[in-house]
Amino acid sequence: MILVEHLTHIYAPGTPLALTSLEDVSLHIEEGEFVVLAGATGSGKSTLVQHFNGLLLPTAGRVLVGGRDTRDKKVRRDLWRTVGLLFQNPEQQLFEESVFAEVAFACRNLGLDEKTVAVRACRALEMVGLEPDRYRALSPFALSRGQQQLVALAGLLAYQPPVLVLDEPTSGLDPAAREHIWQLLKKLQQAGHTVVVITHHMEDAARFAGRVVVLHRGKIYRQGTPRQVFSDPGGLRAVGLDVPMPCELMYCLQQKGLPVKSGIITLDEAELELKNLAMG
Amino acid sequence: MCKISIQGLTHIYNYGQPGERVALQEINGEISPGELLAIIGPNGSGKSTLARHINALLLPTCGSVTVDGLNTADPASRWEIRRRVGMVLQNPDNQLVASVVEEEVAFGPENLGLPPEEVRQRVDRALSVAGLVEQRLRPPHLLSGGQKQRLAIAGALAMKPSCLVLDEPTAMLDPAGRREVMQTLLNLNRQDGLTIILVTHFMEEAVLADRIWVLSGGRLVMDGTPAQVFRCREALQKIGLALPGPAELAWRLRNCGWPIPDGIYRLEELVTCLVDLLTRNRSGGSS
Repeated sequence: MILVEHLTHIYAPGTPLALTSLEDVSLHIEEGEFVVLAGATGSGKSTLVQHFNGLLLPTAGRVLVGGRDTRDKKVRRDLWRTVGLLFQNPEQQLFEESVFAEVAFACRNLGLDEKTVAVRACRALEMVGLEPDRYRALSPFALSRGQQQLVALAGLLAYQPPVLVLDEPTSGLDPAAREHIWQLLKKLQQAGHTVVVITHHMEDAARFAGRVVVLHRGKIYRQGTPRQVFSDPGGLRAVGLDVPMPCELMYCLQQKGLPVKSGIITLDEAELELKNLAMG
Repeated sequence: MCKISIQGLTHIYNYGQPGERVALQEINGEISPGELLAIIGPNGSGKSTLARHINALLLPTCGSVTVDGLNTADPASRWEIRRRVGMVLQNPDNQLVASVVEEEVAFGPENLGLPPEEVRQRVDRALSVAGLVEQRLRPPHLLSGGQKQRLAIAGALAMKPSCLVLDEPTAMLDPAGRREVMQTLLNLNRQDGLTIILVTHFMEEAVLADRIWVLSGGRLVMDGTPAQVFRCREALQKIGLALPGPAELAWRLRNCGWPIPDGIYRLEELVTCLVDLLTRNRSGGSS
């Protein structure tokens, strides 16, 4: 679905401020995959995903979405229909005067009739857990930051692009809303969407990702299933990341000489393993 | 020292206008000098609104907020209150203004009209506390997220506040940045006795506080030590919060009859407890 080939991105090339953000990154995201991108601040995650919908163009290499090159202007003009991007800071994305108009914006651009737009917008608000009747008339700027993030997400869900790319969709959300968003993304993936999420929440990555890709200083540092990637706590800590708490717990118990199985990454697995251990 | 007293605080946005919205209702509480208080609560529960009242960025619709006896509603006290209560926002980019790290930190003290030597001293001290001495000549926008947030903290510290209010200072940071910032805050609190009010969604951060306030729907619904608050799993879940991971696992095992004592909510505590249980179990042979 998204094919990244030898992608290099340099900000302000040829100036004294030139900054290489991505260096020779190759990555293939298949249709229907659930990929989590992790990495320390400045590792290039946001730069990478902004290439997926043509907001940024490669300095070298290329990015193909559904086989079409993002450097082609004609391709780029319609790319938003295929790849929906949620920015890290919702306030960079919101601009309409009401929550409803905000959520309906992309639907209207699809050329849908007003009735369908209304149905879709309300449904999207429900999906993210904001009651349409309570929120539709409010200004997005009167909401808390967490709620703004949900509104921005609803705007994406309303027009249902096949690929959803979300840059830290749960930062600043309370635990219930966070869980709700991850469950929702899982459901969308099961319904056929391709989902790419940037997050620092390793516990969530462990539970929901099919594949975790770790970036470090503009290069791919590790990738694989959560179990593979989280099997190396030392390596992850070295690049500024954590392992999920259950992983950490099991590691500590192992250090204390208890015969704990490796490869445990979720709370459910940890609970089960502890019970097995107690049974002898 | 810094004593904060909140009495009958109600805040209504757009009071008497269309779009009127009650954000805080009848909040009562005191924060003692040197305390580390965490404020948690679901989205839209009023955490940020409450935080902004403590340094008079917002004023009460009803009730009062006082800092060392100074009322935030009194215009004559407002600048003194803002000097005593430093504020750090979620996104450091919204707060940083200068093009060199040490100039950023000097901004506040210079505006106080202090002599240059005094400014220098304050800047050096703030940078050293925030661990940014090596970065002092760099442009802020080239710092990592954790460094930027520590710079915002240094900027606040240079005003010699007796209290820091931080509104989700780690929400946008990676795990390493989060650890750096939390360590800085703990040092400031434990070593320098600074009063700290930390708004957060990370339960792992809330467990480090002396006391936790839980807000829901604009009301203060719980006030207690981490042990007291995280004992109330159901009540927290009902309002959209969760236990820290180790507390959740402890609860589940306790629920299956494991003799795990109440009040375990940190990883190290859980490890000690489990090692004890499991080794005794393995050598004793019975479960």
